[in-house]
Amino acid sequence: MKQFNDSSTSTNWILDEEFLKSTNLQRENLLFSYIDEELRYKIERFDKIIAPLDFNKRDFELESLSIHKNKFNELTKKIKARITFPNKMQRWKGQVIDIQKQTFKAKLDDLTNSGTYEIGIFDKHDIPDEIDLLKIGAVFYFSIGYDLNNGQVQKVSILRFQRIKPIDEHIVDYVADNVASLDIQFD
Amino acid sequence: MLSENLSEKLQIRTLSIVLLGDFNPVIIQPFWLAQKKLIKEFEAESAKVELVHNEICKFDLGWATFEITKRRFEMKTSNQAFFEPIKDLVVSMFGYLGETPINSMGINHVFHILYSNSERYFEVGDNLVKFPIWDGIINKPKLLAIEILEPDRTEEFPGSIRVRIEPSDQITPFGVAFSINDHFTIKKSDDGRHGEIMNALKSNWKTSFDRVDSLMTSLYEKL
Repeated sequence: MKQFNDSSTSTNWILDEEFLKSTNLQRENLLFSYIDEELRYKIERFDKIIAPLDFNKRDFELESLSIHKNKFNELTKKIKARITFPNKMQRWKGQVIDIQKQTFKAKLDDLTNSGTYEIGIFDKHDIPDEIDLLKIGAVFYFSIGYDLNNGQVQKVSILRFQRIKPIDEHIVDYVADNVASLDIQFD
Repeated sequence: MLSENLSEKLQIRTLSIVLLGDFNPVIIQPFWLAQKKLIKEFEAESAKVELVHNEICKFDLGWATFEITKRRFEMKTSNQAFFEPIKDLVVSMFGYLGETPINSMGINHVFHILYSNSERYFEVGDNLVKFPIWDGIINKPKLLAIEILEPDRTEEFPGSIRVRIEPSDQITPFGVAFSINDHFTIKKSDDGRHGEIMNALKSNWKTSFDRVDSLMTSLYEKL
């Protein structure tokens, strides 16, 4: 039970779903428990009653067992696919400084080891669903690293443009009206 | 910045932003976020909505999960690539919902560290709590969880820092989870309706990472 004014996170969670809350071993047990009972019943029934008596039913039961097996494999695959934890990541904040036909250039500030910046060139094909956000000055986040995917290490890179609430018009007007009174010299 | 030793042993790093105040859970939904252009449309379409109710709203965008009740808002991610985007999203959401009273915030950093063997794992517990006090009371005492509080932040925003150390529920065996709650509250003279907490989030974001990284590095080296 959370105390009043407790802003800590609830557990040392990773993902919130029932399957993913549990450890690997618990996950496997949970999966097996779904199919185990029915499957065991069917195998017992097949061995003891149907197999010796009815060949048509026997084929049907065999098919049914095979469907269960496939379902189990699918479910396992689906769950394994989601047990993906980004492990080591290098993160940058980028700002677009030039746009060409196929590529765009950006200044990258290192968010992992701050204090340095680099210039990077990116392919427009890498941002098919964010091309409308590509403008000079646009900010994006770029990360490269390794994912730990159910014990397997994979290289990943993620580029995502910043999506924020636009500055209110009255604030822009206020700044425009008052900028002359500020003693700022631009290069 | 984390030390090289710690980075090597760090298996998973997660982040959550918790806000305490008065919220209307049904407003914050994937399609509202997409309509405000704060997430991609296909993210809203593919969001896994678990529950939408007057009392609670819970959904998963794939890269971040949301849980909103009338008193508590929590957004969390286990993908470091999305640490900055969740901050942008929270600031923008409550930029649109500017009148929402928010009186406290937690920036929660969780580190799952893998120790090499059982001796090293139990040594961490021994180093955190010296056990001689239990001699003759409990046989072979082992530490299960510990929570340490630094009660008063001496900075612009009042608050505290809380460190909880317990076995990791994700890294087994010999995994330890270090959860650090960087807690901010509004001043007594404020009412939380004028973006005080969002200002705290914006101005303390980098500081929170620096503070927590430094804390974790020192703690790890001592353990």
